[in-house]
Amino acid sequence: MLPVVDGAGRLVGILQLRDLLSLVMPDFVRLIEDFDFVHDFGALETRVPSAEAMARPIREVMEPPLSVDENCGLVRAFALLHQHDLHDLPVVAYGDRLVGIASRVDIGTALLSGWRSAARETVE
Amino acid sequence: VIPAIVSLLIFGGCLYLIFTERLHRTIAAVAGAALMVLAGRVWGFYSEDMAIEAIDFHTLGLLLGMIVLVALLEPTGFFQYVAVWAGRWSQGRPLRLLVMLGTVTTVLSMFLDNVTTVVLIAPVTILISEILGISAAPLLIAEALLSNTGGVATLVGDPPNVLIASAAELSFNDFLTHSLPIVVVVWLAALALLRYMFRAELGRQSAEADAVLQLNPAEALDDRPTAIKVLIVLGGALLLFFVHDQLHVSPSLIALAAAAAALAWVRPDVHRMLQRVEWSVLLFFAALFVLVGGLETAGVLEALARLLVRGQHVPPVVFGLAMIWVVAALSAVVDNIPITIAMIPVIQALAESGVNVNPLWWALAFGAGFGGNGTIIGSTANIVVATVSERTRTPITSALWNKRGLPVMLLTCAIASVLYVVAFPYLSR
Repeated sequence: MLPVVDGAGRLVGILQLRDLLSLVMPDFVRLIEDFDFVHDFGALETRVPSAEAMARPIREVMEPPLSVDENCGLVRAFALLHQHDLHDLPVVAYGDRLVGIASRVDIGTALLSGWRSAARETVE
Repeated sequence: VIPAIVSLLIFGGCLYLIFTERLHRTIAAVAGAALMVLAGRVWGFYSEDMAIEAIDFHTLGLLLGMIVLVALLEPTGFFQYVAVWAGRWSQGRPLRLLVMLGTVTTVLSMFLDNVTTVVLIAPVTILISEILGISAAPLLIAEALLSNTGGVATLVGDPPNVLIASAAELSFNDFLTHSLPIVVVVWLAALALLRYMFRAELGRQSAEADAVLQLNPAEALDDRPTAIKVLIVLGGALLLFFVHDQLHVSPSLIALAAAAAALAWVRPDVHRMLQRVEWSVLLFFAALFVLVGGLETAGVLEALARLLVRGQHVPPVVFGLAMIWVVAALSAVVDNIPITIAMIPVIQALAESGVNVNPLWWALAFGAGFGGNGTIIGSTANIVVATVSERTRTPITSALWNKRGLPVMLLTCAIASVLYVVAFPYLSR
């Protein structure tokens, strides 16, 4: 996931791989529940976006921003990832200014290492 | 006179809202039905009890039974399975794909709900088109037009037929002996015309034809045991439909009994299954019955029938032809269900004044069925494929539909008219 910021560094949108793929792939994938019977996607495999689609500005392709404050709890961060089906979460501070990106792995690692230190404390 | 004017205003207002899509058709009909009963109480031409009496529960029962069967079949992947087979048989040749998918959609929609069939076949159609790198629009348009046309052949094929059969007490076999032969000819002509009109879009051979042969139907069928159970019950119901007249059992009882049997055998998660039932359609029907019941008790339909009787010096065959074309034109611009529900009491009133209305019922079925092909809003199946196509790179526009659907409507109505004249003595019996 790529965050999109304005001149002042404020988060204005996010761009995911699926947004880019939607330039070549039609939206129909959401109409079909499973694809295990499709072994060869034929023409879809080799399709490239049209020059017109490639020339489109990012603000037309990006999704509205979803972010958390830098003091956000880990469970809330994970819940938001889960709810919005995201891989990464932009982190903002001082208003809407982007200060970092927390990935699913970052959040998972932080949560689990929190458990470990908590377990160590109870043993002591 | 006031009740007649008030009820006409309410009914006309509803049709206007449905036509302009200002309101969802079910909301418009329910609001109209409530207004009709209220107005009936104020001016004394209609009451709650009369409204309930106006609802044809045979129609609702038959629709509900068939909808439940489809709702059980849908999650098994059966429709995907059939569409994938059609794709494989086409060997990736676009024109053959149009014929195969059109045929499969038609056969399914002769026995199952038109709209559901199209809803379930359309996504796989788009998938196959994308794999082949061709536009899905011609295939989707053909599926909607052919299933609308084919649905006219059977009693359960399309909602106007269910309504007509219930009102005219026509049996399942009456449709097979009177409607089916005509529809077969009309359908073949529609298919030929579609092939001709789309020869440019679908004439080129795709380089990816092999990819279509890689589709695996067995993997598309997610729940084979359930699919088999539902199909057995469905087959049993069809067999009973053939003899329902001899058994003196109504089609609605057969459909509801089949639905009950399938539910007891499959034992699905009831909440999830009921979510798949198209309650909005059933509610729309019930509300329309109440609305038209108001028109009837207010004396509007009787006046219309008197007007038509005065026109009875024209030969009956001309009268029938006029019925086909007027109903077709109305069905193209408004939903064909309200048109059919409104025409039924008119024909019944004509019957009471001594006219032989047998041929008129068939004229109504043909007009309502083939007329829906004319415009993008003519039938629900058309709206469905147009909506689904918005997710592809070649959305179906109203202009495209007028260019491809209107010729099909005109041709099907024309051929039906010729056959109607030829078979008129037979249809009069």
